Amino acid sequence: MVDYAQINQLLYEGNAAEVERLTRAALAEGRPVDEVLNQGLIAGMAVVGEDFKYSILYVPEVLVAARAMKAGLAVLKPLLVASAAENPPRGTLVIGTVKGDLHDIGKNLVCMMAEGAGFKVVDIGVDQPAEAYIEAVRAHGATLLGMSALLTTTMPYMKVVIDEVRAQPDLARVRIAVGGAPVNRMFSEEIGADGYGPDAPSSVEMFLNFMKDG
Amino acid sequence: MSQPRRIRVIGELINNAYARARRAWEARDVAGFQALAALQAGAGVEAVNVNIDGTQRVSVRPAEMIAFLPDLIPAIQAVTDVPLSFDNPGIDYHRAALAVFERGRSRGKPILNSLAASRRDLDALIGLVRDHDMRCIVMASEKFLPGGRSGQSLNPADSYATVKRFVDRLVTEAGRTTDDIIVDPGLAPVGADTYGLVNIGLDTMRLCTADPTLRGIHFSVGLSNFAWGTPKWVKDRLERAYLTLASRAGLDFALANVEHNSEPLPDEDPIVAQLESALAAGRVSGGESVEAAGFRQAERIMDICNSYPEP
Repeated sequence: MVDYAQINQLLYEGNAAEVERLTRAALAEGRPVDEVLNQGLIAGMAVVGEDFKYSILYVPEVLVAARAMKAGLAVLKPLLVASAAENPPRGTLVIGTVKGDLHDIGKNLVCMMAEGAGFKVVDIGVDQPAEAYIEAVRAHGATLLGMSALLTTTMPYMKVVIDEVRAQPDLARVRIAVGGAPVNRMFSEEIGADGYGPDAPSSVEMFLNFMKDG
Repeated sequence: MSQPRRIRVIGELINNAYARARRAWEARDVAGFQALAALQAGAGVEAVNVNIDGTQRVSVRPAEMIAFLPDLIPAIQAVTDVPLSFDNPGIDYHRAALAVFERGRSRGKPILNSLAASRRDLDALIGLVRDHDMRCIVMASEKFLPGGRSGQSLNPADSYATVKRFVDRLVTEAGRTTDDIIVDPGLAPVGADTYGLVNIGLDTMRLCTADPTLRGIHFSVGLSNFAWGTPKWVKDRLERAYLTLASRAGLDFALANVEHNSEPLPDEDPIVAQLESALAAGRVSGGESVEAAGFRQAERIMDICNSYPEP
C-alpha cells in the first residue's frame, strides 16, 4: 500500500521517477485523485517551500523537487481535468512580468511553487501590458493576479495594471500581488496592491491566505 | 586549453543591496559612499559602479536619486580617480550623473551601464555615450524585434545578433571603438537556469570572439547572479569556477564584490570540471524541453553543493 509520507519524502529529495511510479501505484490502488494530489504531492511540496524559506533547502534543490512534482502531476493531470468540477484547483493565478521588463527567473520560481501548492497557474510571460493581464484573468476566471518587475523603470507600470484592473467592475474580486528585486512592501502599499511577495515561498503563502479570506 | 585570463572587476559595493551602502543612502552620508569608493579603488577595481536604486529593503524614488547625484558624484571623485560606472536603466539618472561628473578628475572614460534593446530612450542613451565619450555595457540578453519591440534572447544566435547590432550602432553613431564596448552576455542563477542562459552566455562570447569584426570588445557579467540560491560556503567557489570557464570563452570583466576573491580558479581545481560537467548536462539533448535540461543542470549543481559540506 502506497504511503503518502513516502511520496512526500521522495518529492522532497527530487526523485522524479519514484514519485511518478508511486503516484501511478496510488491510483492503481483506487485512491481518489484529489487525495493523491493533496496528501502525496502538495503536502510534499509544502515542506519544500517551508524549508526553502528558512534556507534549509537551496534553489537547485527546489527545482529538482519541482521536477518531481511535475512528474507526479503529469500522471494526475488527465484525471484532474476529467474531474475538475469535483476537484477544483485551490485557485487560479494569472502571473506575468510587466510591460518593458524581460526578466522572469523569480517569477518562474513563484509559478513552480504555486503549482506545487495546488494552484492553476497561467503564466502570461514577460513584457505584458495591462490588457493582457485583464484578458487572461477573464479567460481563466482567475481570482489572483501576480506581477513581477526587476527594473525600477518598469515598476511604476504595476500601478497602471492595478488601476486598469480596478476599473473593471467584473474583476472586483481579483486580489493583486507584486514582487521582484526592487519591489518592497512600501511600494506595494503605495500603488494599491493587495499583497507583496518578497520571495517565492512567501508569495505562495500569501496566495493561500488570499484564498482563505475568500 | 587556454589559460584563464585575469578578470577586471567593476566594484559593486555602492548598491543598496549592501547594508553599508543602504545605511549611507538612508543618511545621505556622502562620507559613507566615499569610504566605499576608496575601499574599492584601493583594491584595484577597474571602475566603481554607482547604483543607488531601490531594493526590497529600501524604496528609492527616481527624483531622490537624481537630487542626490550632485552631492554624490563629486564626493566620490574627490577620493578616487578610478572611472565611474553609472548604473541605472533610466536616462534621467545618466543625464544627472554626467552633468556633475568631471572628466578631468577621472583616469579613464566613465561607463554607461547599460544599453539594452528594451530601453525606452535607447537612441538618447547612445547619444550620451557619444557626447560624453563613454564606454558602455551592452546587454546581449535582449533582442530587437520588428516594430521597435524587444524580447528575450533565448539562444546564442539572437544574443550574437544583438551584439552585432549594438557594436554597429556604437561605432557608426557614437564614434566608439570596440575597446569602448563591454558586452554583458547574460548570466542566470546556475541552479535555477530553466532557459539555459548560462550556456547561452558562454556560447555568445564564443561566437563574438570568433568574429574578427568584433575583435577588441570586452565581456562582463554580474557575478553575484551566478550562485544565487546556493549555500554560502559554496558560492565563492562556484563563482570562481564559472570565471575559469567564462574567461576561456572571453570574459575579462565582472561586476563583483571586490572584497571577495574574483580570480578564476586554476583549471585543475576539481570544481571547475564539476561545473563544466553540470553545464554540459544543462544542454538540451534529443527532443527534450529546455526546462528539462535546466532541471538536470540544477540536479548537478545540487550534487556539487552537497560535495562541499558546510564547514
